[in-house]
Amino acid sequence: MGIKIISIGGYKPKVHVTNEIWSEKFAPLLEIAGNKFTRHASKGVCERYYAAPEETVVSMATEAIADCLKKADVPAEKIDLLIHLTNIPDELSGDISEILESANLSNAFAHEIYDVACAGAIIAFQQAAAFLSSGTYENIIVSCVSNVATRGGNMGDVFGCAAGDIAVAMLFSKGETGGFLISEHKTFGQYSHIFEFGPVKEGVMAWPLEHKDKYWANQFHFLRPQYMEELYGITRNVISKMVLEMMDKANLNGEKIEWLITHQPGEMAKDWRELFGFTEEKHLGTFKEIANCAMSNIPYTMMRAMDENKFSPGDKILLVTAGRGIHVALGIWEW
Amino acid sequence: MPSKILSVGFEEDSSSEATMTETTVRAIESCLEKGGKNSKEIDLLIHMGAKSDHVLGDVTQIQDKVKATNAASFQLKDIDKVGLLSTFVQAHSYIESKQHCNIVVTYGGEINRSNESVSLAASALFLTKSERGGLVFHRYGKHSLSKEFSPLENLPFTPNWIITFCQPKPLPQKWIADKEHHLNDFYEISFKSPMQITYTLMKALEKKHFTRGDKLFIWAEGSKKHTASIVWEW
Repeated sequence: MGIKIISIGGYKPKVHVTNEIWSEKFAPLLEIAGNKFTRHASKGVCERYYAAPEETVVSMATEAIADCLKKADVPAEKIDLLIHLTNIPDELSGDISEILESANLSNAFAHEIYDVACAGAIIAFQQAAAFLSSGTYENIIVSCVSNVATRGGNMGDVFGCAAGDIAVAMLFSKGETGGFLISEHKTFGQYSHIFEFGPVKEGVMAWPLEHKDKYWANQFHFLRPQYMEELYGITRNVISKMVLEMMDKANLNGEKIEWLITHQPGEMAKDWRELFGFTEEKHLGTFKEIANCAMSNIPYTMMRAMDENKFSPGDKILLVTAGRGIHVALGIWEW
Repeated sequence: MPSKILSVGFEEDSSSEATMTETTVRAIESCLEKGGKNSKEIDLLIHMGAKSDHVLGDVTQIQDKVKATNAASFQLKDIDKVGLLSTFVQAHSYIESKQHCNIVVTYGGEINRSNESVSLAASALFLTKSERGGLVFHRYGKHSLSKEFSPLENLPFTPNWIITFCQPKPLPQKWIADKEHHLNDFYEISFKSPMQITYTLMKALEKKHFTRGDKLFIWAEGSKKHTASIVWEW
């Protein structure tokens, strides 16, 4: 038995922020705008989207799920599990009850995976694969709502400069072939200090102060420049090693794998691409179009590739993510 | 691949210095000790916290402190009492699909003993592969208790034990002739805590209530009247 991605739907929030708008509105406010790490983290971004004040996790997830189901021509009542991920929920206790209602997923169980940041999508894929292969569920929606730009990250932080918001939903079902050939998930709790989440007294927010009450969470540091060198070290020494070991275990290399999709194909991922033996053409990404959208980058990139009919049956796709924690989640997915 | 609950640990701390992270770490250590396991054997840690030390979650700090260096981890949100049952489903599916085989599931929150003292508390369950047993039924929705039980009438067995979050009324008389088989501790710890169920499981284990092959029906009601039930074969 295999596992198929039947469809991927997306929703771009209302506020389109080009580099010009960003430079005019935010850069003058940031002491670190010219910081080498800021330039490095945001290199390659041309535009991003921000959720408007009235756009919530629930509303964005509902739009993405509706788009996903429409593309698959599957009624909402067929879905028996919703796996949801976000950066900062609308409610402290989470949003799945509201999403189930607003998306009319009347027959679905649901849970929200938290504290996995950018690695979340692959962890959810792995979970969907486990549920489908064990026969526990048959039609699973994975919903990713990234709102780190307007809610999670302080604009004064390194990644805040390169962050965007977006929502994506994927429908997984059984198929004759396909699914993970191999996958890994490991958490390195010893590096949890790198992403510091203490409240800040003064922050630069994506939205004016009149929305401060609504965006209660937008006062937390996401990543401070002093940890960037350590993060680069982990990228080079820990994550790359895991990917190479996994490829070796699967007896595959860059020549035998058709596509590489990394969470954010910025400068760090360029080093990976070369190390793993992939050409630029085989490295798919949407960093330029939507910036760093945490757990949504990989699903969004896959959606764009599906829209362009890039994937053929049997294609192998190397998926690489690393998120705050530090969580590293990887896999080789056969289309 | 069938699965089993190897051991259950529980810790509470009523001091003003109590943190969710430290209380959960101690619950895991207790669980590992009871199960004769060490933290290096854990390959997945799933944490659910009704209370959190950190806004964006505690699981990586918990994993670090418990020295589960070979594990993956993640946290679940919107848990409430219904979500608690979803961890049983998740752990069983991971074990069955062979993605993970030694899973620790933790739950953290407040308990209120006899409505007097409020403590931070955490429970930890060690789930692992087995020769038989594990999840045999699960259901989720917005059902009254009577409707919750109705599909089970078609199952080819009668549950031996019933564990419920709070005191459901009416009790399912069809199954449970005597109240001794309806296990709960909601008079001992607060009605609000999802840990009622894991606490009850731990107590039942200590009293050696369960025999291999027993079917446990576990029911919970969560936010917005969502309900969930599972049947777990011991």
